[in-house]
Amino acid sequence: MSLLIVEDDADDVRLTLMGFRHHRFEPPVVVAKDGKDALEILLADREAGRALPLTILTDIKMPRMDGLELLRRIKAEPRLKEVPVVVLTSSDHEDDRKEALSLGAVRYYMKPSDLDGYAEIVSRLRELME
Amino acid sequence: MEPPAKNSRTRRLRSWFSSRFSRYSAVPAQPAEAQAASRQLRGWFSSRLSDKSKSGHHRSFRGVPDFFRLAVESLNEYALITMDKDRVISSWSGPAAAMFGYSEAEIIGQNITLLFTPEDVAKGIDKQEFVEALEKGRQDDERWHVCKDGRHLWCYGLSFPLKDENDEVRGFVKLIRDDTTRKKKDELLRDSEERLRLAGDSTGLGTWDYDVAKKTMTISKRAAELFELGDDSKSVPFARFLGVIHPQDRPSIAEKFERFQVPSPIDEDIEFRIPKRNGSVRWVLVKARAFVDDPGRQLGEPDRLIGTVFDITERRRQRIEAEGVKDELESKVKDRTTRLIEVNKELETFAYSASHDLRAPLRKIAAFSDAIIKSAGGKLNTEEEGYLDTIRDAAAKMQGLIDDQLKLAWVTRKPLVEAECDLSDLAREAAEELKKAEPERKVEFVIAAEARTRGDRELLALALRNLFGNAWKFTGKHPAARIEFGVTTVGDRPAYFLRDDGAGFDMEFANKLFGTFQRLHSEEEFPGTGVGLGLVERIIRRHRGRAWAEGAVEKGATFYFTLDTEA
Repeated sequence: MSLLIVEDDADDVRLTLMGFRHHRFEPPVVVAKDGKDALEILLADREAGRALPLTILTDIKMPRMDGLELLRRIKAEPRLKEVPVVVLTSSDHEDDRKEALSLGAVRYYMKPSDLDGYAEIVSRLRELME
Repeated sequence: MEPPAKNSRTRRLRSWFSSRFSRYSAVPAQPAEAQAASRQLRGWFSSRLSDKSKSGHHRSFRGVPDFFRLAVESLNEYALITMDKDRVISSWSGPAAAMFGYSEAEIIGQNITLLFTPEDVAKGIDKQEFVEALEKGRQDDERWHVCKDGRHLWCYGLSFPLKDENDEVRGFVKLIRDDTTRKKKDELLRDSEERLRLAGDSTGLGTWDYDVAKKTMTISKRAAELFELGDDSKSVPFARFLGVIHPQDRPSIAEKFERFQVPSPIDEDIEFRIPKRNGSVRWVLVKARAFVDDPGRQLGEPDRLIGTVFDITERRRQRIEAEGVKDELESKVKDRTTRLIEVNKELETFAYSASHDLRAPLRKIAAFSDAIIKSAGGKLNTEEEGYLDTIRDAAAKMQGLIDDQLKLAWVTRKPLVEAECDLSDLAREAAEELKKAEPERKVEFVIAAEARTRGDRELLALALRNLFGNAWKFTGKHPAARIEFGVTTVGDRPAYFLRDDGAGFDMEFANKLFGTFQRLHSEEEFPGTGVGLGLVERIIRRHRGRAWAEGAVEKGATFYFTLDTEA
């Protein structure tokens, strides 16, 4: 059972995975390059009767479909809405935080600027994916 | 001859003069008295002329009263001179001696020509005068006469011939009154009138004089033009003056003229319209001052208003035009201000998004530097690790600057939520926060109670946090410190202050204190980005207040701010 990372910036995907590794957290990962991509993957999995990811970790600012819109869509879909969503973004907009949480995100994190900063995110994801 | 009592004598003289001097017209001569006076004067003249002429004629002269001598004695303002037919002086009264300086002995036997100016003599006026007196029975005029000492006197003179009972001319009488003083006065008056007229002509100023009792206005030529009352200076009934005023202004102007009081108001300015013959309108400015000439009038009521009138049509037009231009300018300024605010907003938005966009790459620089160190797992030498640390520190520093920039933008953009706000509470919170962070420091906080105002609580809290943080930081090098928050009065408004006994600053740089990213101390001495007081200044400015500071090096600093809570 996997973690779906929704992130358009390849550097950030790498950093996230390094942060995970630094905290010895190495779950199976599927990467979607934006919200639209993620939604397609999720819908396809559901249609095919495949297992859904245990948790979704999404950025907010992305092309085609942003993280907030993705949240909105997921929460409107049967089964998909059961999947917990964690937001990991560089946006410190208070509005973004409030909206993400009100749309059903379980946590809202700012992207850390060092590997130690991933500690809390990792522990939270571990809980969610148990 | 027994002189009559003084009163009756005076009366008689007045009647006599009245009949001869056109200036005196008020008292009509009484025939009986006049006849008596005439008889007496005739006697006097007879003796005088007969003495001098040695003609042996002891007859009275027709038309010359014997009583004349009394006139000579009693009226010293008149010189009386008699002459024979050739104008040789035969008698010379006391006043004549006083007036011209010749004694009787000096002048008797001299020709009257002596008293005429060389110019008049050259024109033959000294002779002509008596030719006319003969022809018309009397001749009067005004001219210059010459005194013994060469002085010139402006004199009124009346000459008439003396005839005997056979209507034969025996000589002449000349009465002279010295009018030099009056003439000078007249000249002065004429001069000042002339000056006023010239001033009026050159400045376009008209003058007028309103006689309240007679309800007439005497107006200068210029005033007549301005009031559309014809071209010449003259007297006009007040009603006629009112008639030329624009009907809409007339009642108020009539009322104003009624209301004039002495001594106040003086120099009242009145503006009104005069319809012109060509159908357009002239605006005039009338200045008026009330006077009391007649002391018998009731207190406070003027009997005379004197004033000026000035054409202000053009001035009014220019004023209205200027107002139009002003409106236009104001609307332009408004438009540009609006545009400026828009541009400023755009700029802020740009700064905000630029700052934001800078964060991602910075974070990556910091995070990947960290990742190198972590993944190298001790394989890097100290120097290499040092380089990476520098990269991380620089990135962190830049991150801090960007965060400050974003905070400044937030302080400027945040909608102002004004409500009742207890600054004392906010001050205590700020102090607590600092004490919690560094409990080992010995800092005494003194916070005035109930400093209540209106304002945006979130912003004011941030301002106080920054001021307290500033005071905390700059007292950090002292073993013990005191930080006081209080309220004082500046002008007539409350001014809040935060005083510390820390490092202080040089007043020379006081104006740099609130500049964003301006620092008066080195980073090594006191860390910081220099944004704190910039934030305070913006927050205070958003509350339409003012922030300033006082201090001295090593003698602490006091930061003041006011808030405009009315608007």
